[in-house]
Amino acid sequence: MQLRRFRTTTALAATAALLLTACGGVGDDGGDDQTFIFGVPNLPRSLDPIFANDGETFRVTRQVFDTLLDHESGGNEMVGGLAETWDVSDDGLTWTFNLRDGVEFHDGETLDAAAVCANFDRWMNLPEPFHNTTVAYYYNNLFGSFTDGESSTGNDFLVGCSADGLTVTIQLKETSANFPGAFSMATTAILSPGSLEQIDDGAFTGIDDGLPDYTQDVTGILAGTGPFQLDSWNHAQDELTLTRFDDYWGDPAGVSRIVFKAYDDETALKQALEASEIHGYDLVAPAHVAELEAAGFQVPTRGVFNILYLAFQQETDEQLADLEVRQALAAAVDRQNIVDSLLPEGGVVATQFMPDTVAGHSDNVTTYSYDPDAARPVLEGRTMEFCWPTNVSRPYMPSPRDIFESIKADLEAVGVTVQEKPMEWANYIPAAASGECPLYILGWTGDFNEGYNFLGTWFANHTDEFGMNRDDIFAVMQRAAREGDPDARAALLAEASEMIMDELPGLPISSSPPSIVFSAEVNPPNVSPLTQEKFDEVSFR
Amino acid sequence: MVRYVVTRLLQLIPTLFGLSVLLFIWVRALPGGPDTALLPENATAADRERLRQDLGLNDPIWVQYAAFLARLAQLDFGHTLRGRAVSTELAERFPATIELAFVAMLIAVVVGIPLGYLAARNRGRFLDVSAVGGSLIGICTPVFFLAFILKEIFAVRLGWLPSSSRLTPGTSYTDITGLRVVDGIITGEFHVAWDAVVHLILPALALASIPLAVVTRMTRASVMETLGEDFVRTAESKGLTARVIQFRHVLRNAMLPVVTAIGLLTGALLAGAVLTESVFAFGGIGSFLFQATQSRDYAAIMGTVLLIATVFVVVNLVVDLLYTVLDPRVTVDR
Amino acid sequence: MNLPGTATKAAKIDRLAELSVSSSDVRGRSLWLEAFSRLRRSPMAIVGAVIVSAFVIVAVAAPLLAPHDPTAQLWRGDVFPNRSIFVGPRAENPLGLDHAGRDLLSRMLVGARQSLMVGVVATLIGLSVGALIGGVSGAAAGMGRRLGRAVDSVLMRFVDMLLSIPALLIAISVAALLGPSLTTLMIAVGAAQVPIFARLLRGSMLAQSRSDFVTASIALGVRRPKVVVSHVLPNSLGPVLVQGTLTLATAIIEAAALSYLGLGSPDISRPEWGGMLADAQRFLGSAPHMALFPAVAIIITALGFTLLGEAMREALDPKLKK
Repeated sequence: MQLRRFRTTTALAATAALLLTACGGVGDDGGDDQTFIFGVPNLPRSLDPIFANDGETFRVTRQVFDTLLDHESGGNEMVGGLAETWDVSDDGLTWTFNLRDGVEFHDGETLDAAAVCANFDRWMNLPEPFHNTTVAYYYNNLFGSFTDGESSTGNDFLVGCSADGLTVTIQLKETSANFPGAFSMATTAILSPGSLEQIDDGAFTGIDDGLPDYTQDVTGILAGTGPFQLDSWNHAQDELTLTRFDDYWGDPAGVSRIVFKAYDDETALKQALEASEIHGYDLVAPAHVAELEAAGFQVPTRGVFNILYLAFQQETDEQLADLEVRQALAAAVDRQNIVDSLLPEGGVVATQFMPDTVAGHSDNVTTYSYDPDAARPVLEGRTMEFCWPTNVSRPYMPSPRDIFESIKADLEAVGVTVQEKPMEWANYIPAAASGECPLYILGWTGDFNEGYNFLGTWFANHTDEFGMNRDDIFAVMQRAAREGDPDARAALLAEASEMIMDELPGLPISSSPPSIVFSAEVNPPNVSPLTQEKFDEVSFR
Repeated sequence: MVRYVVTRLLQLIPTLFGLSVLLFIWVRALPGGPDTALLPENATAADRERLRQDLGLNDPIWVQYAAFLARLAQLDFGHTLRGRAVSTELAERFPATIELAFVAMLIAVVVGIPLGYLAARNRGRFLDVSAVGGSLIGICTPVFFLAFILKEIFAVRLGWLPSSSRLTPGTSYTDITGLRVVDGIITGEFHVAWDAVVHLILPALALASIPLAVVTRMTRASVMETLGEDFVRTAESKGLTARVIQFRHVLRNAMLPVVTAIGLLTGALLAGAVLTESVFAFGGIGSFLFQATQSRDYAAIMGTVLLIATVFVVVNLVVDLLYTVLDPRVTVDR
Repeated sequence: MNLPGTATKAAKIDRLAELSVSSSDVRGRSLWLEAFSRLRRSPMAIVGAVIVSAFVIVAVAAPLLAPHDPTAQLWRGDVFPNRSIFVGPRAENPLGLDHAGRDLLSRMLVGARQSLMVGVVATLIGLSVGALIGGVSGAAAGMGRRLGRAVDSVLMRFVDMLLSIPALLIAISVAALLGPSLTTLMIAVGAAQVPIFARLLRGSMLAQSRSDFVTASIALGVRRPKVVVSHVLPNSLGPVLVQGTLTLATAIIEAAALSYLGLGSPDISRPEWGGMLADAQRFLGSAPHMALFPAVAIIITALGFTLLGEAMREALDPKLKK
């Protein structure tokens, strides 16, 4: 163990006398056993990624299971994963993946095209309880094809999978902006055929009856091809342990064990790090970054891959239906100040609803600069309701309270009376989604490098989040959604982005990299804008 | 005696029943829903609606309550939003809270009773004034702040004690009772027991602040009162030695209200655990309950509160029984 | 949780309730005078009274005392939380700035007003609802008929049920139900006090109805309701006053706990000490002044109310008279 022993001598003299006499080091596993301990806010919801849709689950499952495609280490470019190379037909409907040779699963099986198709077959044959976003969020959104029934999303993209040695051919019904990104999603990870045989999807009756045991405990059923394999899950200690898989197809992992350990909040994580109990954690509060850096911790800066915006719900508040008012609001908010004082280093003011690293980003959008004097005549004397979420931190929005306070001060400076509506997160999202909030702050982190994954989230059709009624924009978005050619799609998205920024349904505030921190004794992995760090790159110095 | 215990336990049933109805209505009336905990930000309105439907939240509330009762009858508390059985979660986490609360109470009793007794015997002197003053400050300091400061000083700055959790992360141990210290001693894994003790110190101190203050002051007041009672004077006049008077008469009689207070403090300890466990990531039912409230995990909230209420009632029953031992004048056959 | 009042719950409440009898044994007004004169001689009471009056004066005069607008981010350019750049006490801002560049002294002063308001309103809520339940219950029990006993029994089972839920949980439930706001905070803290006041008032009414004075009055043919209104209720005031004072301390501390759990008042324009403390903890490493001042203020104020309350209790309690 690399952790500092607790200097118990003086502080505990009294207690020691009361209790045990012998006192060695604590938690000593001895030898050169290198355990990397990473603090997280939650442990996975499910070990089988099909049931999950959250980053904390995927952070773990990505170390255990591989996907056909992957993102380059430390970047957002699509590269091969289990597929060494891949190709798509001109009509965008036939995807061919050439698998790596000699890849072994944790249970000893060998990867071949049949193994990949077994996974696709499993998904397509999932019974009715899976046919909705409640249970299998991403599969229903990305593919949605079921041999026996329909998805609640209405999606149906897959025809089938055919295997030939190491060549997998996936046939699609129609093109979509989600391809090839869908093949890189953690939820479409490839499980061992042996695992699939043991999983009884038919026994699952719905989430009200709980998730299957194998998703909540390490039962030996789940085997992937990743650098680490599942070892144990101690719920009472909130610890999930992975161990190195020695027959991993890539370079073997730098540490023999990873423990993911859950803490209640960010401050607890920071203190655990400072007390040398963990070796790193993600989503560091910006206010703690400089402090930790000064104390010798490593805080590598990620690339940006998210958007934070201030939404203007035009239907809830009539004032916001007026373009002049929306433009004045855009001029009233000092976004640079938010970036300079509240967001992590590397953050930038956003010009549109996607970060500039994404295909589809346009350089020709209308931009709005900070000009309170121009805003005041339009906004002075107005009263507006402004919702903000309490007690939450999101990768694109560390400390919403501070961001809200800053915007509120800006609005008040130009004569707006702000009626604040603070809400708990559990209440906030439904309120924003149903159009209860005229002004609110929210955002999104991309799933993969695809502009539609951003714009499509908000502007593909009329929603109560924005109350925007622009059929021309929706039409362009619908075309982009079905466009299989990446370049043509990027052009359509750029066009849509320009139209959106003229319409101004909300004000994009920032793209900022969530901070991740590591202790000085480890070599950190390449940090990823998608927050998909590969923990096999970690090693001890 | 047995009849009394059985009666009291049976009385628990209507209390819990009433509580469950209240809670059920209460919890379902909370704004927002579990969908934010289960779906990403970009989920559509249809996704959210579907989720509520799948969780049975669109049914009339009495239908939901009937389903809850039907499950409860089979001792099934339902599942958390994360998909695990609530009963499993509670079984895994409750020992942490028991261990923490027990140690906190131990500190309160072991330090508080002698301190209160000495304060009473030295009324008005330095010891008394500082004991009373200290306990008042203890009562007036927000628990979470005390916990936070203790942690910042002793764990982060000085590095003497661990900052969080029940054991050093990655420690392997044998689980028998779920009480780490006890398990460590039973199995001979003394390093685990020691590790657990070290991890208990800060949270237990923080949690003990209120009970310690209360026990000290109760003991002080009670001893002072008893010292003035006729029977003590009688004993003195009979020429009994000071030691006998102190232990047989004063302390024993003075303990009555203190014992009651200890029983009642259990509730305060369980609630204090919500704050302390959160600060120290202790993983007991306290922080479990708080997280459940945040994510609108209805089943988890119901299960935890019912458990806490049951424990509270049972502890108070035990206290009442203890009372009869301490004071023969009190009988339970009412 | 913590609360001087709830910690020992029923036992302490019932003990307090008994005090009303000891007071009623002595004749009316002179009892109060006697208690007051005892109070004046108690150092505890004097320290408590000084703290409490200082707090009340500050709270009431806050808008006049505050040197700056407590909500304006006047020094926004001086503070960069993401680079751990904060401003501690300096000539211009005696207590320094908060994380958004606002004057901390002004915020503390206005915070005193909010904290006092939370305390007073919460106590009033707990008192009025509790007194209603306790009063009805006590009066019903005092009537002594079968129906009366039944009403009393049902109400008290309800109160016991509430007592079996830790006060903080009641507060959390209410806060979660109503959404975070200052009003919520007051209701949540007040709700947690309801069972205590209910039991207190019932206890002291029952204790009195057994007292010699009441027995005598009834024997002399005074009508029961008249006895209740003219004698029993006024004499229950002492314990209620004591509990009320203690509850003010409780309310301020509990408000802080709720804020820490994210259920407090997030209203930025009207800062409240508990909320300020809870929010400032995340900056403890680089801006300890932000947490320190609210923490000290809370502890001292709560101490003031507790001292005063305890001194009042002792003054009323003839057993402790020596």
